[in-house]
Amino acid sequence: MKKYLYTTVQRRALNIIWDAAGNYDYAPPFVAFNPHGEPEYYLDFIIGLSDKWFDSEKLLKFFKSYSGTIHRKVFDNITWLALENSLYEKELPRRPALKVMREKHARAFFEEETTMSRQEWMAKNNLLYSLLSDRWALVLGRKSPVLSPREKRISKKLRAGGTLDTDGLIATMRSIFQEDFLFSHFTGYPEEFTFHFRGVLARMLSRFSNCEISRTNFLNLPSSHAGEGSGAYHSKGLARRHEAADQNTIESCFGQSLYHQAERILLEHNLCTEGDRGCHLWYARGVPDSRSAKTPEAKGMAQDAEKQYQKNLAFYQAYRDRNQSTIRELKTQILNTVNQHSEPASIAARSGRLNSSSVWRAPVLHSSRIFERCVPEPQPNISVLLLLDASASRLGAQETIASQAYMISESLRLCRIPVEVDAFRTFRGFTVFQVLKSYREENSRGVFRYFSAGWNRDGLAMKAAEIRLKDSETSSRFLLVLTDANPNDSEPLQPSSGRPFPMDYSGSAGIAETARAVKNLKAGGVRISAVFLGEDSEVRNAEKIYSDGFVRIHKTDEISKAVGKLLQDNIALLS
Amino acid sequence: MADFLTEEHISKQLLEGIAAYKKKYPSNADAVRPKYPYYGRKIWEEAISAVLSGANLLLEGPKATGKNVLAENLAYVFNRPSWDISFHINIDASYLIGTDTFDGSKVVFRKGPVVLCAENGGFGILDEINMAKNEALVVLHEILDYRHTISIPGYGSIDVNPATRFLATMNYGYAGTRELNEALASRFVIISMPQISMENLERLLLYTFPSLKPKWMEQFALLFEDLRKKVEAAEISQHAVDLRGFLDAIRLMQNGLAPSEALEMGITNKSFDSCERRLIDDVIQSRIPETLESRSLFG
Repeated sequence: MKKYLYTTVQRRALNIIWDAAGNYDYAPPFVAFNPHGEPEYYLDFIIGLSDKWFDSEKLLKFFKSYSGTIHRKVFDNITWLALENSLYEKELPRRPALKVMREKHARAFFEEETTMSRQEWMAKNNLLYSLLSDRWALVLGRKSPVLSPREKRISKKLRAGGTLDTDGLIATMRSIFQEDFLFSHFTGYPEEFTFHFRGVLARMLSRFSNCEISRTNFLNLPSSHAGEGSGAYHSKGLARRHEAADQNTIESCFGQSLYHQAERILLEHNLCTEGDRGCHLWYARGVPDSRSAKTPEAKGMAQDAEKQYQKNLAFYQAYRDRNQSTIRELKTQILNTVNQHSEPASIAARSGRLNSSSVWRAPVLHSSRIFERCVPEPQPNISVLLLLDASASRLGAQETIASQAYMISESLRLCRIPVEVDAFRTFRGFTVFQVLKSYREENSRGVFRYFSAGWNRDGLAMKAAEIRLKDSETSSRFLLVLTDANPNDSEPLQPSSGRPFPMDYSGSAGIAETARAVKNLKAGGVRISAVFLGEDSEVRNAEKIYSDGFVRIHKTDEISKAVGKLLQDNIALLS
Repeated sequence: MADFLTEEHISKQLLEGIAAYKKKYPSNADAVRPKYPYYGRKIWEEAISAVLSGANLLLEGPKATGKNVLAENLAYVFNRPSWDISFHINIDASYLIGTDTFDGSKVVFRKGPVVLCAENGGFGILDEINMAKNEALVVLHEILDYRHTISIPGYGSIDVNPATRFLATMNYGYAGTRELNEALASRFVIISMPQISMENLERLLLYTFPSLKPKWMEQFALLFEDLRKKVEAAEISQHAVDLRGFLDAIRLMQNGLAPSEALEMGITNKSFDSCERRLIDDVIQSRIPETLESRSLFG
């Protein structure tokens, strides 16, 4: 079960169920929420207890046996009423608090009654409502509502005792369905229900009076549409455009270059060499803006980027609590690492630990500064450049990458370690560095501007990253790359020494080119590590490029551990 | 304490070994009686065997496994004075061994806790040993291995009293900890401390709070177990599984504070994440009713 996909409220409901079940692998077929969207504590607890006391598989089969019929909602709810009573009696001797929980739930039922409008009353199923009123009135020792003889009969049968086992309970329910609802067609349409958690808890499927208990016939977490907006930016058949026109388009899409034209050309002259001859570089801090876009292409990209920005923000917000936890955890981990490797400096002081070699100063010079005091070393002189692969191959994971990058950036920022976050992509022959957060910015919100489009000429990006690394004023620089280790560009590798003909910038050639760039960066004193987000088949690529300097993660929850480990290793090497 | 060990069904041979040790190394100073007894026959037997064979003991395990409690209990059982040395990131050799000081007319050596412990044949409890930097721990090597000496530059060497034992504790993976140097680890025999069992937790509660009603004693033990399961399932962090905080909370109840408030202070508020606090609250509510009054717990 992918636990990490749940929102805070869903996670709480599941935790209540798991706690009661004593089994954190239990995939509950039902979950209960109150009208305010909060977990319905007591009913969720009962759902959990059903796994503890009954055979969940048999119960599931029973729920499935009528699932395709018009009676499903009523049958679900009255089955849970029977389960509630039986489970209460079974669990109470071991859990005295259950009585208080039950009474609290019953009181809430009648309190909700007073706030319901007439229409809501009418919308309720009368039979169910009567049965519930009777049950909760009984719990509170109040007078029962007026019931019809049929309702009385059903209500009495639903007071299933604590001695019932799964078969006994199912037999009781079957007899109620047969005798009181004249229902005997227990085949159901099981194909309609999967009864498994696959992702987020989805829509409510049935009403349970003043709260909602729903089947978990759930949808997968909606993710970015893989094909959305990709066609325009990701076509290997795209012809090389005129250079000046391309530059205009790039400027229109990503804003002005951070470097003057002359500087930029000099950078290209130095970096776009050998296999990258003829390629261009563009460093920008701009955000695509559809209002100022000069070309339809730029306008389209700006609109897509804005949509993606909103999606990134919404995705982060949906799991905000968990993400904040990750930031705190990662921050603690980084601080611990920094503290462990910082050497406190000793300074002469008037109190503290005696410095025996200075003792002579007391009688001879009458100086009292013969002690030493430890002062913590200032923050390590380290900065981090976080480089995000923003090619179209990342289209399906944009929100996740933006969230991951934001968490890393915020954790480092909170530790007062300068961090810059850049997204790189290759587009019309230009490898574009989009500075999402600079070393000096005081928040990491810009990271949510991440969007993917175009190609990824990783080798050139690694070479070009050196320029951004130098923008930090620290003595030690650490390059952290979030990548799928799958370089791919429409522009071929140019002939150079040892390569007489142009080659496609992909596969082993692209990997070799990137590995060489990484090696050169390392030789220049840059510490470089990667967080690998790719598929099993691409692990070898990551190994070839980063050797053992990468960590693979499968889900966002692993990010703090992975990045913490990489930082720990690198900070340890600095000390 | 001998009665306690008999109740724990410690083997007769080991009990005799303890008696022989005490006879061989009589102590003038009275050992400090520990606040809590350690429950668990297997661990007791392993630890006693290690001490009797002259080994130093490393107690490794997560939070709330009773590492320090066992160390204090061992010092008491063997009737030795103990030195509690809490390790931290900035600890260095001079903190452990000693340092020069000025007595008004000359520089003299001021003994550190390790030297005092070694001279007096005490039990040195090296708490959270993996919090310290490995470089600081190198000085312990010659004390812990067959040499049993402490070399102090400028002052010569001190022979370690043969009754001395060092009992280290560590929680691998605890925030701020590091890998223990292999050379140091090889100088210890290691006991991996298990989580306290339900039965032993109830015994501990009964020992600490004899007036706690059995019905609630069971619920408190189950509550602790529920929280531990939640930690194991990685739904909450380790903050909530704090046995000290748990016992403190019951102590607060004994002094009249409402159980819900006491548990909030002792357990829930140990977490600084609002979402996590909610999950912890839900577990507490399922065991200890919100409306419960502290006076109903004891009697």
